[in-house]
Amino acid sequence: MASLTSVAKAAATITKNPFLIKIFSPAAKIFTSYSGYRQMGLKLDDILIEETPVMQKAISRLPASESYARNYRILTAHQLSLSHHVLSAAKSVKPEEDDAYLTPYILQAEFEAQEKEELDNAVFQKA
Amino acid sequence: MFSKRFLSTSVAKAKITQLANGLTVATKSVPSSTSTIGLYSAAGSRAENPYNSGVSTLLGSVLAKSAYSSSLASGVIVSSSNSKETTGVTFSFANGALSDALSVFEKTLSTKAVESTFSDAELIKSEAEKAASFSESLEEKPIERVLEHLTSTAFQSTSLALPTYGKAETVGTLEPMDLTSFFGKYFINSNLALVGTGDVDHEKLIEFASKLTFASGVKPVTKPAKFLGSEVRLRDDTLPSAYVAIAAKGESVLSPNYYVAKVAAKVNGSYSTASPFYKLQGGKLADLVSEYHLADTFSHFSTSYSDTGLWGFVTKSSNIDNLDDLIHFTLKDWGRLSTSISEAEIERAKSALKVELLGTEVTPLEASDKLASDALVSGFEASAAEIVSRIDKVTTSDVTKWAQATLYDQDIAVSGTGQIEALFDYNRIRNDMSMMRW
Amino acid sequence: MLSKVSSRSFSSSALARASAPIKITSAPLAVSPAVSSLKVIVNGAGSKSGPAGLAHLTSTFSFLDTQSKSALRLKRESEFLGGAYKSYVTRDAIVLDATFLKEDLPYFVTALGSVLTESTYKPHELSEIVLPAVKATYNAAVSSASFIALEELHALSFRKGLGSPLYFDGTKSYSVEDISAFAKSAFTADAVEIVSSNVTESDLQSFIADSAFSSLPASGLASSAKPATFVGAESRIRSAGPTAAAIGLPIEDASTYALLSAYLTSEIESTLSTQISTSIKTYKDASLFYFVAESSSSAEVAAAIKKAAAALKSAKGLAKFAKLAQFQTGLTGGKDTVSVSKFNYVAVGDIDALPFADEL
Repeated sequence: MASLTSVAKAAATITKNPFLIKIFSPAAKIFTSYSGYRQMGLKLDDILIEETPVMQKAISRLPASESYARNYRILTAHQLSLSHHVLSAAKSVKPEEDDAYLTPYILQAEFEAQEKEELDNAVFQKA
Repeated sequence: MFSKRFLSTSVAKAKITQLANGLTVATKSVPSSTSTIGLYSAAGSRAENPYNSGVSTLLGSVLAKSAYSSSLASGVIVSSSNSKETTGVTFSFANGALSDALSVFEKTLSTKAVESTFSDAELIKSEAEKAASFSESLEEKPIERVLEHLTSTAFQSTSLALPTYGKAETVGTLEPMDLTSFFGKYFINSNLALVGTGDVDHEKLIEFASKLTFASGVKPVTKPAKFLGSEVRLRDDTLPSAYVAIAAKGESVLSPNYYVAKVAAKVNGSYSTASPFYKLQGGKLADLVSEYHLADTFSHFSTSYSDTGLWGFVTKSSNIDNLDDLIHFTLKDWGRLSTSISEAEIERAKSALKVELLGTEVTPLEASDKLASDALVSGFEASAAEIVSRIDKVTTSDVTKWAQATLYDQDIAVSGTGQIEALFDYNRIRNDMSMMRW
Repeated sequence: MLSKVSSRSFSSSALARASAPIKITSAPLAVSPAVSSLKVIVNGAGSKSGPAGLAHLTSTFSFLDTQSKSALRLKRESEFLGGAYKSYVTRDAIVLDATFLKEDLPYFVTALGSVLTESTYKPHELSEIVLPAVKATYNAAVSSASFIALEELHALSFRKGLGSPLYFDGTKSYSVEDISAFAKSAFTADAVEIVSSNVTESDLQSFIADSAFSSLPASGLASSAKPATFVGAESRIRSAGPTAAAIGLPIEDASTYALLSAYLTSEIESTLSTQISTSIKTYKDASLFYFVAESSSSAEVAAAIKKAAAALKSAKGLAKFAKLAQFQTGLTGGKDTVSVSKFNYVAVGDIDALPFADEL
């Protein structure tokens, strides 16, 4: 899986370039609406694979209120899935509500893991 | 470029002189507002036998006690110190009060004073009781307990196996005659060192030493100690954790591999969850232990005696169910020393060793114990520059070669107390000293 | 100054800028000549300042992530260089202590400067590193009855300030913002004092001028007024484990009380079962004389404390303990007699067996 760090980097490249924004932004909107997670009451950061050490660390560092809200959204999605329903347009997550609340924590955890990997395998060089 | 500067500025070098009568005089300047002088014999618990175990401790404490109260007002603190291979009576004082200390020394250790002290049966009896309960109190401290029993099982049936501060059941029964005969045998010029640390003039101490009238004689010989792979378990489920020490036969003080073994012990070094930085420290073992909470503390050591040593580790773990994992992965990691240790790990270990050996502040009293042991056991104390250069010379392949000969598939001594239900039997642990594959 | 030719070459501008207001003193070589040490003492950042426990938390945040370097990288790099560092809190100050091979001086000057100026105080560090560590320190400390007794003695003698607990005891909850604000107000150039050992002073000055130390803000640190002191109070803390009793009082005449503590040392000896400790705690703006006895036998503690209290009420012939006092505290002089009618008294542990203050 590509690290979120590389995704963030690619996103930065795109948002800096007006031409690329013109292509990617509408495509992303269509992609997001078809993927349908917002109708399940979820944010994008809720559906990232969480069974990795990095994600576990990131999730453990969420403030209590964010963590509660995340769990509540996931429960809602499970309930919807069980009852074969989706939320009405009024109740589904609005684009402006779909914030990257977890992303900074993932980026920090990925940075730490990558730095540790590098330092664990430091090579000694004679000065 | 900077390493050369160590040589020119090494001021704190010990001076060691042997007088014509065999008495050793050693001094070292230690920056402090206090100083210490001490008389040490190269006879500690190792010079005892199972029937007079504790006599060296008792001898030191009786002599110290005989002068303690009367010399307090003159600002001289009399105390005693014991190790496996030394016994000392020390006199600590504020800098400049050397003459006070010397006069207390005379009052305590002149032939007449020693004779009268040893004839004081009451003093000896009360000190013997104290020594016995001190010995018992050490058994209450789990880490001290496993380490003492580790040495005891590793060198069983030799005098090195006797506990440093004596066995409670023998020390309590010792009599004046035991002290007199121990003193007569081991407090002879060839076996003694007069040590001064802090602000003590070497020439002055030599002048004082030349007036001392201890008996002369040939330095007593210590029987060599033999290492035996073995184990001792003192399971005690009332303790909160498991405490285990494991060691292979290590290096002696004068071994050419002394620093190699020390460096090897620093590769995994020590670990304590009480430190704020324990999750950050380098080392594969520390990483694993913190990731899976395998232990609360561990500490690798390379302990050296005059003719042998112990190389291993001691650990405390409240995760008693996973004790087997802790032991397995620790010994596996020792295996890496023989096979795949990296140069970076060795360099880190060398740096850590330098800072530990050279960067620890010591009081004159502590410096005195160390200087005495160096003067009596090896005849010299390595200067900072010598230590740095000897550590610098240790290479990765030195460590590998040493580990292949000393650790790989070698017998170990195991000692455990506390909740050691999950400490595997000897053969399972012994099997981790080698690998089916490299 | 000019005659001291450093073995390194520096740009003259670096030397010119070395006029930082930071106080630098050099201590005698305490360790081997191959090793140097630096102590950065931040006066006024100790546990007597700020809300209870905050200084201890701030101190434990030292050497964690900074803007320029992560805690992990600092730790791993200093392991390779051969350096050890720690931070601890006293009542007066936060002390950053680094011991390292002599040639690594610039690295550690930079690291110590960064701790004071650009620590990032991240929330996850508080919960993952700092809180467990302060809890371990606190729990280890309070396992000693004498420690509890001495803490209480400070509380009785000074109430606020020096009377605040030394360590964070978990009764309050602080956010990283609280910690960061405390650090920002306390870590100022005039509060910082550097004690070096085995360091070429001109090297150190230029490294400091080039480091983050030079960007420490100067602040009008209020010169601390003499704290109010209190005597005649008693406190009894019932707890399991060993028993301890302490008496003490805030003092001015340290020399005389050094004699008294030397006298008590020789009058009331530590035994295998009872540990006696008596001395003077010297702080920037006050001193506290104390005597504390601890034992698993409460009867022995009671006997020792009665003896000590009697001595405190009328001790004569102290002058002959001048040499012992000098050995213990380095202090000379002092009066031959002491007579104290009011002092503070703390009983900890099995307090049923310990006397009350008015029975002493």
